[in-house]
Amino acid sequence: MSGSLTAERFDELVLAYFEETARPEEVEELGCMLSADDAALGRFVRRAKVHAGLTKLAKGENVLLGPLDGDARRSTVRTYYWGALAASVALLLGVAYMAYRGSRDPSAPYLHAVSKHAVLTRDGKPLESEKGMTLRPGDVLESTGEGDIIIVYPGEDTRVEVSSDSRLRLEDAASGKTLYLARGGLRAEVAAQSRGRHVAVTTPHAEVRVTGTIFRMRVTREWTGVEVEKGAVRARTRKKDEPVEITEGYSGLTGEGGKIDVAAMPPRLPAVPDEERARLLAVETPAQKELRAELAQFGARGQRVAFCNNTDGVQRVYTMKPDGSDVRCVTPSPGPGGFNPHVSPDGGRAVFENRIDPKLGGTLPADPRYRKRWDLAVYLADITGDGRRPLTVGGAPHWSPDGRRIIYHYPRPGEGGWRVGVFDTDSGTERALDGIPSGGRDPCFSADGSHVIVSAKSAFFVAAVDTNADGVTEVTGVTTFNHLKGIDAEVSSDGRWLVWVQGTHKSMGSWIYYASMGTDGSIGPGISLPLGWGKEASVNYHPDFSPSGKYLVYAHAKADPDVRSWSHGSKQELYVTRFPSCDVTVRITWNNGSNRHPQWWGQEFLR
Amino acid sequence: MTEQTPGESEARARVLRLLVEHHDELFSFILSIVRNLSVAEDVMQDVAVVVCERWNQFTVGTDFGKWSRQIARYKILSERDRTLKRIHLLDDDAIDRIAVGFDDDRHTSHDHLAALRECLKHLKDRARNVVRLRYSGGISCEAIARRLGTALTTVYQDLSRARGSLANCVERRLTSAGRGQR
Repeated sequence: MSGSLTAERFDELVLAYFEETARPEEVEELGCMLSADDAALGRFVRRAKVHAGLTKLAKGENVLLGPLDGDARRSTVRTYYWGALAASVALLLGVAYMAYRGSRDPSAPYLHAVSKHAVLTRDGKPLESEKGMTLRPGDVLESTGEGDIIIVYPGEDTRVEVSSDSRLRLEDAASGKTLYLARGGLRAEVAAQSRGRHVAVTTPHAEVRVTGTIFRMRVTREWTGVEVEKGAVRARTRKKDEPVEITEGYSGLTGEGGKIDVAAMPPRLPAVPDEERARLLAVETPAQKELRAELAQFGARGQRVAFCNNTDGVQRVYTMKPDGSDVRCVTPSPGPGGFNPHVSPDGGRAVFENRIDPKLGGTLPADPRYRKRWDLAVYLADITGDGRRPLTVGGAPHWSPDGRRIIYHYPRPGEGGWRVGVFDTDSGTERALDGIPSGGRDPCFSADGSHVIVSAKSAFFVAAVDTNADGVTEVTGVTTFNHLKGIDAEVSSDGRWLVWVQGTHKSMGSWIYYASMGTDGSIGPGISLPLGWGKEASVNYHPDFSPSGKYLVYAHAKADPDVRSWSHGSKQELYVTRFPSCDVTVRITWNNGSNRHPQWWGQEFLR
Repeated sequence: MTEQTPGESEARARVLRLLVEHHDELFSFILSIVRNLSVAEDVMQDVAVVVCERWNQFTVGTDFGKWSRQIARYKILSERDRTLKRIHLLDDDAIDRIAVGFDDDRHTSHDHLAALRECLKHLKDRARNVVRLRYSGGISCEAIARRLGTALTTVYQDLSRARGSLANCVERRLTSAGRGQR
């Protein structure tokens, strides 16, 4: 490179280039310099490596962290000066605003948070809602996703978080704050109310009154449920019968006969002591904290992870946000729970395995051939846990991408081995998926639904499937991949990747493998994910992709020397890692049970 | 699909190990072309797929870094009018030149990162602060200028000098380490 002027210009261009602020003609100018000058090329490559290195260090280490320097402190003082001035002006404006608000109604609730997906209707007309807007009696709020709407009552700490797909109306009541929940759910933190006043939530079936507590409510067409996290509530049906008190740790459900049935709630998760959790979180790296923040964002956009847990001694299906918060039970007590859940693509229904039990409702034809060695059935329920019913004898159910079929495996009566079946949710019929070789189990669909992947003892089978003119799903061809073996296969939503679990040497536990997939159903060579391989034995199970395919959730247990590769006995926690680098991993379950079979669903909004 | 022989399996494993070893270096190359971190991660995934699929096209004993950069180069150029449409990329010649520039650099990314860590310790406070805000904080230059109460051009200058200073420092350290090994 010749001349300091040229060097200076070159540095300018490189800076603008890496900051993504370079104009097209500047990029071209830089390209000319790189093509013409070896010294410029060397300088560029060195800068590029520094840029990439700093990006990597900032992402994975805290070596860039440190106190502000002297200049920055002086600058910060200047910032504080202007900040203080701005704060004073803001305070004056705030006082004026409060005085303005006070002239209307200082105790009126307002929208503490509202997303663009929420709808506010006032006097029968949809209104453009915004954060801070004061609400009036008669206003109707409708949410689409979780966290769309948060209502706060000023002057106290009362707040109401409206769940997804809910409809809430503010009522005009002289004796306190009254809300009408027509559908969906809410979580309310109600501050202690002054004497003679209360907060009431009414639904089509019941009324709940509180004077200071934390509770959740959910309303379907058939019932209203309330769970009390703290304090107590008084609930009664709309028939104005005697109210019942529901205390902390108990739930009430409007049942048959117009009564409210009160029962102990399933054990609350998490149950790990706060100090232990805080200690583990405190030692997380900046990269892990960054990953947690990303997971929280996914949760705010409606993504959830279904999983099963045995805290109360029974496998139950739960869902939670991808960062591990907001745990909800899909299969609450009384009665058996369920495991191996898979949620429909629209998030509305779940299928899971469970032992055939009349307490779960519904019946299956008695078949002694099955009952001798197999008593598991595929159950279907709303994501709220409502409407549980058995579909068929079998296990490992998976939805098709269009949400119209459920694929599962079942034992071959009198023959041994496994078969794969398909349940059509439109017609309510089931049939065997003939053509898949014996031994294939744990079936799942490819991302476009054109193939079914099943794992066998020493191979993977990929069956091309098609729906004929009668709407029947049929196998049109099968490819055998002898170089792969394992269980729990899952395909990424873009169809490019396959993950599964494979046992290694018995002292090394079981590991998650991945391979590329072609649109024709072909599978590339299997690669072990770097989840600590070579450092210590561990057991890794049940991987599933995030909706974007960039993250993986999986169950992990530290293996002791006696744990065999396929043991399910040890306590497992769920973790999320980036895929396929696995450079950052965070734990997302904190409870005393064993957590298994995670499945991550929801739309990918961020990219 | 035919079953792999033990020899093929070993060769494939070797190629995949090389992919892991060269990950950072390959990512640096991709990032230098596409600049955007998120886009670079996507391209890196695509390149990893191709390497996994074409492992048997790599000749053992040749330069894996060069081979994988060629794959990345083809990938970027093939996506130029599709997924990378919104990014104004350098022209083909310049991208080829950058690939050559990376080929000529014989230092491993591990050595490079180690040198960079050391050099960061010797960066002047003011420059270190801008680098910290830009990379650890993920803050744009405009936001840094607002936060520090300085002009945007000053932040640009500081950041440019910091990168230049780090690049020279890393070069010096790698060169002297190379001499020391001889």
